[in-house]
Amino acid sequence: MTIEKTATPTKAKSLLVITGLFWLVIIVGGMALFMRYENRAGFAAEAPDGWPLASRIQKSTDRSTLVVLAHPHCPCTRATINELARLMARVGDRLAVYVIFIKPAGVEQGWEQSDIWTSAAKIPGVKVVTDDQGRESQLFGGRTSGQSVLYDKSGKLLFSGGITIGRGAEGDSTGAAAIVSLVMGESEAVQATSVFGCPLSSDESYCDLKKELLDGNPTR
Amino acid sequence: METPHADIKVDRLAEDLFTNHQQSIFRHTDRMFAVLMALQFLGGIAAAFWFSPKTWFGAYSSVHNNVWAAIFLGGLVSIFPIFLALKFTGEKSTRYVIAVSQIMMSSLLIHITGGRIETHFHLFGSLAFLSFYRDWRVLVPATAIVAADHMVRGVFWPESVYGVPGGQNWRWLEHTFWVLFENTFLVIAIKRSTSEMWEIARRTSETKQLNEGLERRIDIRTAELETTNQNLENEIVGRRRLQLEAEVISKVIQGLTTTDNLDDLFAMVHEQLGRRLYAENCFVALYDSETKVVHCPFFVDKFDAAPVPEKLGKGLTNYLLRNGAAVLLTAGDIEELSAKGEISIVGTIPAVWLGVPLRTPRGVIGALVVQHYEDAAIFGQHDERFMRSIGDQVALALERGRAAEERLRNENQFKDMFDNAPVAYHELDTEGRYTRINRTEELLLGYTNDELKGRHPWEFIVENVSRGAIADKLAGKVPLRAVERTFIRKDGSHISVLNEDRLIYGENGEVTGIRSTLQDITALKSLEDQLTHQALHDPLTKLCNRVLFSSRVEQAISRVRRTHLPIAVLFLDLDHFKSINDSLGHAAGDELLVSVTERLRACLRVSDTPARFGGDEFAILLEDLEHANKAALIAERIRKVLCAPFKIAGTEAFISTSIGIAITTSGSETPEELLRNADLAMYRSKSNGKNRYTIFENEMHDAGLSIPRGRPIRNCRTSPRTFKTTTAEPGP
Repeated sequence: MTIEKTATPTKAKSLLVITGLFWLVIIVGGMALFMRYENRAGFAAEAPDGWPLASRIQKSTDRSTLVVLAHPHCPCTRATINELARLMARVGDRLAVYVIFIKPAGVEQGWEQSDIWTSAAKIPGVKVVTDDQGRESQLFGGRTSGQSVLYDKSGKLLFSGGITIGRGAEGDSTGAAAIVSLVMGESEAVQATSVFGCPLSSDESYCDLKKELLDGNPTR
Repeated sequence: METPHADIKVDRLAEDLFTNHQQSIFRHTDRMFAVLMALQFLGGIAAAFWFSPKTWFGAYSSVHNNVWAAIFLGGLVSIFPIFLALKFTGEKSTRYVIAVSQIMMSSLLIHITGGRIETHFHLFGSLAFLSFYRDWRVLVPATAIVAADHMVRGVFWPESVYGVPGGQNWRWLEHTFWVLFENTFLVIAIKRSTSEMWEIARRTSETKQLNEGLERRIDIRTAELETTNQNLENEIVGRRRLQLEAEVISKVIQGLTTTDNLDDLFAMVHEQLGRRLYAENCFVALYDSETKVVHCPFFVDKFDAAPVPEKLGKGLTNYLLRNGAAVLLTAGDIEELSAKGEISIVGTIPAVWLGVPLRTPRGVIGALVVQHYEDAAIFGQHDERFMRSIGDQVALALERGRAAEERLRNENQFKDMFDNAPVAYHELDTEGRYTRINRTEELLLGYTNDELKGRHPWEFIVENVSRGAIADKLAGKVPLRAVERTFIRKDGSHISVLNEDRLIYGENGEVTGIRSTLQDITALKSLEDQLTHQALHDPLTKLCNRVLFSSRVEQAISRVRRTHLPIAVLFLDLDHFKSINDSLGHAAGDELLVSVTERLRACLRVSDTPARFGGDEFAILLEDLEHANKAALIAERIRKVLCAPFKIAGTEAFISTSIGIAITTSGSETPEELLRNADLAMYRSKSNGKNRYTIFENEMHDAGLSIPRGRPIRNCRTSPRTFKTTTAEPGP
């Protein structure tokens, strides 16, 4: 059977070209917006410079303590937990790590014990803590799930930020590298990186988020 | 070695095949991507729902942006290429759009899934899928999208690409490198595949060329075979038709030779005719050239009744008889002839009318006709030829019948002539046996026809006629000529016939016998014998005449040469006969001669031959003499016997005789010499006194004796007798 090349009339071709270009513009624009969203950092934490004494979490006295604030259902936080696991594999013996899962008021029992909770709990050396009503999150100034704060053994803030490169994106990140270098004593400067995740509290209004998205100006 | 023309043709065909193959690949791949894109779209939505179904604000959640992105952005990315893939399948723009879209989808999936390594594999897999087009150009926009994506994100969101904020502007090439790395192998594979496609196309083209050539040859051969097959079928049909025709004709011939009755003959012909062609309407017309009347002794027809005998007119049959040729006419032809006035339409007009003449050496004697009232195409040239063959056989049979009748008539006439011919006829077969004799011969021989049948003529012929003689005649070895035969009649009497033979020849020229005529020549023979006898005998005395006597002497001389037994010729002259003849009359003289003859016979033996040379001269041939002197003794006895008185006319007459004897022992003399010698000796007897005998001696020739005749008759008793030593003196 001979298959002939189809000949498209010129008018239809022109229409197709125009449509194609329009389509391309649309999807490029769409992808750009999506990229922008993907790479938009969450609200940055206002971590105290020193270990909050009111925190129920006992800071380690012989090593640095890393606290990761997580929303138990934030999908982006899975990447944070996976990065944490890699971090622990590298410098886990030098860190005391706590993953604090926020439990807002009014949720049912066990709400915070999601698969992310389970994954975090499986990481050797990581303790998972339920943060009723976000008390601990507030103490550590966390606003976005995935926020990680590192304090040295004296309680001095060494790092505050995220350890992923984007929303739900795993891979080598500045945050993880900073933590490693701080733990290893290669750096002493306080470092901060963007955090990619869901807001820990509903107080972080959706309107602000929406405003941010529309204006392109983050409120953090 | 292919000709350039063939090469160009192969190249063009290869190009067409390659293009078609390529287009087929494009189309198939387009449709594959259409399906893939749809699945990817659904897969993206499913992945978004799986990995990030909701975004949270504390205790509150809403649909994650990834889900909306998967639905709307994913749908947007998929819809246009799917449309193009289904509506503009195979177009270059379609696959380029698909390439762009596929990479976009990979990017979307990567981001939806949070950069999972599997979705990065989707990117590389997409490139591999794009290579299915076997068009390396398709990889260009795809690669460009990847590069642009990394470059743009590297600029605007470097940490998402490099993992660190900020980065060298060229580092996007690192990520692009792997794409290019894969592209290298894909392009190589595409090139190879394309090359193979070309090779396949070329080989297919060559094969196709060969196959086309083969197919053409096959088609030609098939056409030839079909033609041959058709010809064979036609030939078979023709042969079957011919076979049927031959069978029918054979049956007709067989029937015609065994059927004498005309009605049965025509019925048989009609039946056989019907085996070969439509003969529901069929008739035979016979024409009498003397009365000019045409009648139909055989007639079958669906519509018309048999016509009455009529004079030759203007109907179709009559048209055929007038022209003497086969006629195949349709209804249109018939009407046309009628319009021209050549024929008059009689009866129902048939759709087709086929008639053939019944032709004999005497001319056209009739017609054989078949016709059909509906189908004008039912009869054709083949049928006309067949009908002519049948017509010829019917004519032949009719002629044979007529000839047989005439032959019978002739035979009867001949038989009548044969039997009643004034000449005796008989016929013999090749074995020489009687097969038939006519009435005349029955009367001639006294036998009936039945008594002679089977017997041979030589059983009734006196002459020695052998079986071989007849065989020679039959074989033509001997000429046939009239011969005289002597038949023995039933009553034992003999008849002489003149037997004349003629050979009888059969139809094929072979000799079948002999026809003989017997002409009764008994009377004629008798007359002939009489005449012969008269020609050779003295009418008065019934003795041999000079001619016969000379012949006898000649035969006797011949015998002397063989037997060396002497013979003698006695020449007698009656003394004094003239005086008695003169005195008593010629009748008395004749009576005396007869009496002398009787006395001579009494003196002779059976082997002796007396003769009368005329007048009073007699001669005697003495054969089988034991010795020469026996002739003298016989001569003496004769002399004495003739000296006794004769009673003639109531009167006693006395005569004597002078005898001359010529003897031969060697047979060296001729009959004339012997006779002359005897005559000379007789004259010596006369001159020496008569009433004596003298034996010839050679000196008599020398003496040249010639004693005239006519001397007066003397009484033999008074005549003195003198004897010489060579002349025998009469005894007392």
